[in-house]
Amino acid sequence: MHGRPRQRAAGETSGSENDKELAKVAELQELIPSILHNHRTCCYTKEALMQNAKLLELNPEFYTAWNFQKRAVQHLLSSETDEEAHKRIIKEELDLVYRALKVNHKSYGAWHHRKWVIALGLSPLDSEFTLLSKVLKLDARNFHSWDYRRFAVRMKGVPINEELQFTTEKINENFSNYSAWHNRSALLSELYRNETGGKEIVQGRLEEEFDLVKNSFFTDPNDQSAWFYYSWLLGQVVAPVGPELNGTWPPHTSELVIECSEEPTHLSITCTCPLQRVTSFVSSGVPLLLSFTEAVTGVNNETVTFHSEPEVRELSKLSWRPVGFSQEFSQTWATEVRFQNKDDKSLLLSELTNFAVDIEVAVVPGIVSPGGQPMQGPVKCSKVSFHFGTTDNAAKKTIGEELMAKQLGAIGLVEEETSKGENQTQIEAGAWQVKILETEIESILELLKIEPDSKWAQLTLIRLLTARESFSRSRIERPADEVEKLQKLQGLLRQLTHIDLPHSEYYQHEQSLLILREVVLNLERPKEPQHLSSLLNLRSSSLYTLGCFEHFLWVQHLDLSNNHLRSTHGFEALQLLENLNISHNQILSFTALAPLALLPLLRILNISFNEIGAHPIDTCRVLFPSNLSNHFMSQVLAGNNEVNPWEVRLVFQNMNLTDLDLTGNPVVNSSKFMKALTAVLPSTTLHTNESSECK
Amino acid sequence: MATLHLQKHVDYIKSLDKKSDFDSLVTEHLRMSGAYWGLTAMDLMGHLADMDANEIVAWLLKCQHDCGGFGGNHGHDPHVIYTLNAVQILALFDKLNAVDADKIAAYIAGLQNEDGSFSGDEWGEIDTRFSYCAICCLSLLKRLDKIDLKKATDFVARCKNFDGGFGCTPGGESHAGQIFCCVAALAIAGALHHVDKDLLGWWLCERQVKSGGLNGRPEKLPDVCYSWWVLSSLVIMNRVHWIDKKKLEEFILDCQDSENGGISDRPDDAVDVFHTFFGVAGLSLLEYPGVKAIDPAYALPVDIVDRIFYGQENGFTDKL
Repeated sequence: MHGRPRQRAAGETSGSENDKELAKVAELQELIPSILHNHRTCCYTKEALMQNAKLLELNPEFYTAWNFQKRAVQHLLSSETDEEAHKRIIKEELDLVYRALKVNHKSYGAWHHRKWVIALGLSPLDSEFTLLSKVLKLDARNFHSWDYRRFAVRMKGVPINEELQFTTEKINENFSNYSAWHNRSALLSELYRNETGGKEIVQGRLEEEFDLVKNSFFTDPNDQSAWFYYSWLLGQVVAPVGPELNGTWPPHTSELVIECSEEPTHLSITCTCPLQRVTSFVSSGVPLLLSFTEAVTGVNNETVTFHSEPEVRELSKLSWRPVGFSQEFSQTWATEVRFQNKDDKSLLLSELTNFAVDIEVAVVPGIVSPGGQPMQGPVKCSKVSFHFGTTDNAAKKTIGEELMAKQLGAIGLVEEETSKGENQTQIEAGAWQVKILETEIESILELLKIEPDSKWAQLTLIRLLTARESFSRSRIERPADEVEKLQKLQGLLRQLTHIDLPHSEYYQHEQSLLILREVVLNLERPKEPQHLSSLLNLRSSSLYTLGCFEHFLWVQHLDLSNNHLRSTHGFEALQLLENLNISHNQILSFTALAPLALLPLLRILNISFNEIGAHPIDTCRVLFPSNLSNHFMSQVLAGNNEVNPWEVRLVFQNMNLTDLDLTGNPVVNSSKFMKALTAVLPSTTLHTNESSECK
Repeated sequence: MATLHLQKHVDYIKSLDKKSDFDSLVTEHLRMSGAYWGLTAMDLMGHLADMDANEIVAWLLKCQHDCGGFGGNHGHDPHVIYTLNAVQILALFDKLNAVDADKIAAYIAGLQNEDGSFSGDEWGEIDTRFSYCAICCLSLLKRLDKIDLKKATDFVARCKNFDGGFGCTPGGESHAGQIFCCVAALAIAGALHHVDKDLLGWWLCERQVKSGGLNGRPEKLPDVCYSWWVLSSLVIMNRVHWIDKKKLEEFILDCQDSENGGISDRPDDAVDVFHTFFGVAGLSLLEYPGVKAIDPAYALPVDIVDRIFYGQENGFTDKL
């Protein structure tokens, strides 16, 4: 099936080839029905076994024959009590597998049969290592033999260090041995996980590993294997030990003013944050958001605690929910603090006194990543003040000015506190990592002197510099330097794109992350003293992806027009978002907008001039939950597929949009889709052509 | 400029049924898979109606054993791979009601091990390919609740490697075929959070070689079948734009036998139905005109999958 040359025309095969095949055809036509018959009738005579062996040597893929063989072995072993006879039977099996492997050394059936036989425990393991040695010499990349080796190693109990030595030998024989590098990574990971003190052993070995892998790519910079392994080593150096809290809303030292709104059960909330950003909206409760570096579970009343003076009843028994599609894991967690009478839901604001509350994420076992890594803590995440306001406008103004003045004073406090707190632990934690990173940066620069056009070396340098930058403490002291560094990195990526044009989209993706880091740095040091808006303007910013969501939790109005976004993955973290403009991007389907359904305050959505309706292949089809991915949501699907395309329901059915702009998407020409949209969004103003009002 | 010789491939596939040559005999044990590849390719090319549905379904049903599982051909032992393929063929013909879904579900559930993995059959070979077969098949039958899905996805997650890819078993080297099985299984199970899409997407886009074709792992030759396994994994993760689509399209078209029909693994090699299917499926994912859209996780045409999961007439309401 693979690697056989095409015959120029039927009948043009060479005579001897043809005859050989015809002979085999005749044999198979005889053997197959016979074996199937023997199998059905449980006939395990010598003749039957000889036939089966013949069949397996002609076609080791004939899996039923291997099954028959196993039944025969079971039968034979049970009818002989003599240990010598057992040994003989086993040896014949192993010989048969050997002959079958000679025909096809990649036969799943043959390898599994051998494993099954050896697992009976009646034969020595040493001969297996001899076989493996042979096979791996013929083909060092045969993953069947590597898998079988791992099985034999486990059975024999070979210590990890011995196997590491074996992989070193294989790598020294031929650096381009991805299978050996892979096995090495698997062994080290096992060491890290299972041995006591494994973490320290692996960290101690990292320098050795870097040396080994550098040997490889200094010898042959074009071989991929070493570079992928290097990338993994780099990850081991910079990866945090477990999930960390990386953002909260309201942020530390925020002042919240809570008043009644026009809706009887809803609050009008105004939040004044450090850097004087003001966010105001109407909601049934005060949202609290926690963002983590990776998806976690276990956020609840035990792991997130509050200390307030005085004690506040409404803060006990909050129910935290994962913001996302999983019921269990999420990077963002949310809850709402309600101030309602339990019985009639009326607001109790007049009875409440102002209070300040410390929110702390505790270290009690609970918050863990999908891999089981616990969060390091406890972390004091925010001190937030709640003020219960009046409807008196003059009084409002005074409170507002008071809060503003307080904020100006608070900024210095925040920076001092965070830099003091972070500095100490960061310096301690970062020391060994920075040392390794700086050594490696030097090495790669050396290589680039000899091989300036090596895309692998260039990409690796960018990764090293990016990692080095994230450990830099000059972020707070000299942010201008940091911005310069980020721009330099972006320049390097642009250079890399010229050498490696086929992968330009990937490099654009990486570039976007750097651009966003620059945006975040600029946000933290506003050019103007007064910087009040909750609008984030990322228009025409060459963004191929969006990230850094933990820095954008405050955003109410987001302009992402004229970029290259293909989905709204991660947008669910932006729980305060009311107005989103992603016009002129590369949204190809409605499903790409699924995360937006999780935004409770979203009212205005501009998706004009994308490509919805132009593509038969939906690249977000199983990315977000639907019936196709085991999420049977409690929706009633009336009618059939024709009138109610499921993507429309999936995305828009629970949204409360006032405006939806679809102008310039081919889908507006489909009456089927437009009908469905109108049905699912009855009170939304739909814009489908340029003459209609757009926001 | 090469084009797709659609009619030639249709004729090639139709001709396979009558063959009894060496190739046909050595693949007799996987006829169920061959049928699935051929029939799905026919549907993608708009010619499924050319096939005799009743004859095929009758043949297929004879491959089912009392335990509920299907063998690769008459008289061949049951296996989870051919059980999936049988269900996929029935889905194509809209004849899922020809089988007892509970029986098949029980067979598959019986293959799940303590650690969440799936054996291919009673003989215990474990491989993430079988996790995919189990999860995909049960999902099509709306019986995913018959297995321990969390354990199943946790096992798949344990097969994740240093490069973001997946192997046959924990510790097994990343390989595009296994990656497809794991990514698609996790997608169907709603557990894609286990996949580091940026890391894996980068590894996958580096499968594209100078000729534009895709290989299955580093430093290996390109092969048309990877146009499916690498491509579908990238589509599922919404990173298919990270490869050069035009060059891949040219490579696939280059692998056609423009005289006798069929597609081969590499230009000028012998064709077979396996590579014909994966070539056409790859072109579908590349949105080649004239080829129907294929679902990247279920490996069946999109309209078939939509009908199963969202069409009223397939008994969706009983799942609520």
